[in-house]
Amino acid sequence: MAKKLKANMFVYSANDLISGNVVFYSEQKGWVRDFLFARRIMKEELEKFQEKVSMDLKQNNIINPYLVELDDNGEISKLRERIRFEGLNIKDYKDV
Amino acid sequence: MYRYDEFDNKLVINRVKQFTKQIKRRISGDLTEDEFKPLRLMNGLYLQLHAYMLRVAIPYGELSSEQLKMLAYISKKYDRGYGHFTTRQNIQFNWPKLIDIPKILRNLAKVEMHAIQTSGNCIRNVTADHLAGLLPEEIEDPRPWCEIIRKWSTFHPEFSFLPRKFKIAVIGCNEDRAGILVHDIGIRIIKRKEIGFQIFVGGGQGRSPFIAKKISDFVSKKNLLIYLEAILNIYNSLGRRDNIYKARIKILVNELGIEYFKKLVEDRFKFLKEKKAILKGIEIDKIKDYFKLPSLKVDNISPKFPKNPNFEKWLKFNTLNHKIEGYKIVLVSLKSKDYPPGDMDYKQMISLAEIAEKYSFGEIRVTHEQNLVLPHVKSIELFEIWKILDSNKLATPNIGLLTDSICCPGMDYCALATARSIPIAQKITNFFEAKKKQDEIGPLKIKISGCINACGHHHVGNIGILGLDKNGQEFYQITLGGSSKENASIGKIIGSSFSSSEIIPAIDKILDVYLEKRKKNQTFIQTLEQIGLKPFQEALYDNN
Repeated sequence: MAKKLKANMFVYSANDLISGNVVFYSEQKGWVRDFLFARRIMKEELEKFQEKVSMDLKQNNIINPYLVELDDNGEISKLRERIRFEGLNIKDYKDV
Repeated sequence: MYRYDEFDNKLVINRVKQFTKQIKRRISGDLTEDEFKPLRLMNGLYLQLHAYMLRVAIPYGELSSEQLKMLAYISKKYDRGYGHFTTRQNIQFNWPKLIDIPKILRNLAKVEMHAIQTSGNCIRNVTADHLAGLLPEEIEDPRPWCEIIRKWSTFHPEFSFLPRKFKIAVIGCNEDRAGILVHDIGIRIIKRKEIGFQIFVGGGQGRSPFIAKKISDFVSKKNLLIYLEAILNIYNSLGRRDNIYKARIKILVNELGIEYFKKLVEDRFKFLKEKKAILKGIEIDKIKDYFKLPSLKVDNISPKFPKNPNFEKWLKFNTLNHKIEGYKIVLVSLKSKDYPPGDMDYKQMISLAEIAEKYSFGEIRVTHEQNLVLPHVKSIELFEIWKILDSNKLATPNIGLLTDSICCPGMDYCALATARSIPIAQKITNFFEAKKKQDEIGPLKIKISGCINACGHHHVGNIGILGLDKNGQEFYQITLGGSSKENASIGKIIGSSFSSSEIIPAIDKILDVYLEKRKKNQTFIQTLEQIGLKPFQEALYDNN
């Protein structure tokens, strides 16, 4: 998997099975909504975390886990992932 | 409108019970996601970019006020207070929780609605002209035929695992408001010695767009289902299952050629005719009874309204003549500058349901262009209705104009999208409303897709906009000359794509060329046919 990825740093993201919410893997708190708590994973650590994620997948806490690429500052680099993390960038209904 | 019989009720309730058990087994871990995914898709439940998404069918686009109120309740109670009407007469809820899905489905079943066959490789929601039964020029109301097809295709064991999804649309007029030529099967009611059907096959959009080809000039009423079955038999047998991009019937028809495909279908049809029961007149009439017009009594056919320029503009663009004098058809725009195209919040749903109850016999229609319709409104009550719609931001006077664009959810919601589409639609609306240019331009279809799957129908937009990902940046490709009407055509790519900051000025330049070159009353397509792409390309790409 690591060979196909361009970045050196990643976070694991998935959706919560029950709510469908976007979640990120955090070492201390498990799967969390807040990206700030997401564990930054270096390329060489990937294998170790893949095992943990596979375990959570089997335990039915999450669905569809995958690696999100980060830039050198630890920020999400791809627009799709930024939208997924930040939520809708269109006008919020409570503002209408 | 159609009401469920005991079989419909049983079928929907049983499916809710069955899927509820499957959800419980998924949550308990008895089913893995790989095992559960095909089951949830058969019940319209997707996993999108942010969350689950539930797609609910609105068969042939017909809704009762009671059903719309239930959609409002579901959106408030189980979602984020709004729903999104799609281009195929469905509504999507973008934020439901898996654990709430059984409750949502039970509530839907109470008002005779469901999410069955809104996903998966089966026959999807059958769509129709949203003006069905309302116009004097209509040969026959297509809704009973949609209902007959719905009954036949729901849980049809042979057609639950087709090579790919399958979409059918039916119209009863010469004018096509349902895009039948970009459907897997398009059906047009026609009159020869008797009334029957012209059948078109192999239309579709996506990465390989095709206009459907005529496969039969006349199929009788009694043989309609047998003919459809013959087409689906051939597709089911010969359609490709090894490559998802080549699995739709349009690819099969194109590869075999329409003449050979037709021969295979005709041979199968002859075989089936000997064995299958034909549709009986009594059964057809029983279904037709559900779709009779309500009792419309004319009392004032030329009302006088207060002077109000906003109302007059709305009257011009958002109302049509009903076949019964003294009544109007009201088109409710879901393309205001405050909301993404096709979106409606729960307060608007409740308000419109109440308007429909009071003024339109409790009926609402959903259009394939993501607007709604009040089908039978007394002319004399139009001003009153407009005031209520206006106070709910449902009276934008733009039906058929350039800000009445079709737009897919794009990268704001969709897991497959490569670019955002909603912000482009909103920029177009804000820019052209500010310039007050759209009235001068007149009827024009802009259609926007956030990826090549073309859910925003960009291929058949007079101006089509396709969102692309170029090295992580959003770019937009423009096509010109597409149409989903009776003279359907696929738009042509005008040249290299534009960044998100360049796309609105580019559209503006295209419209300037159109305004400069068009002859009196010429549509955009007619002007394009006359002058070709070159003047548009020169305006966009000539740096000199």
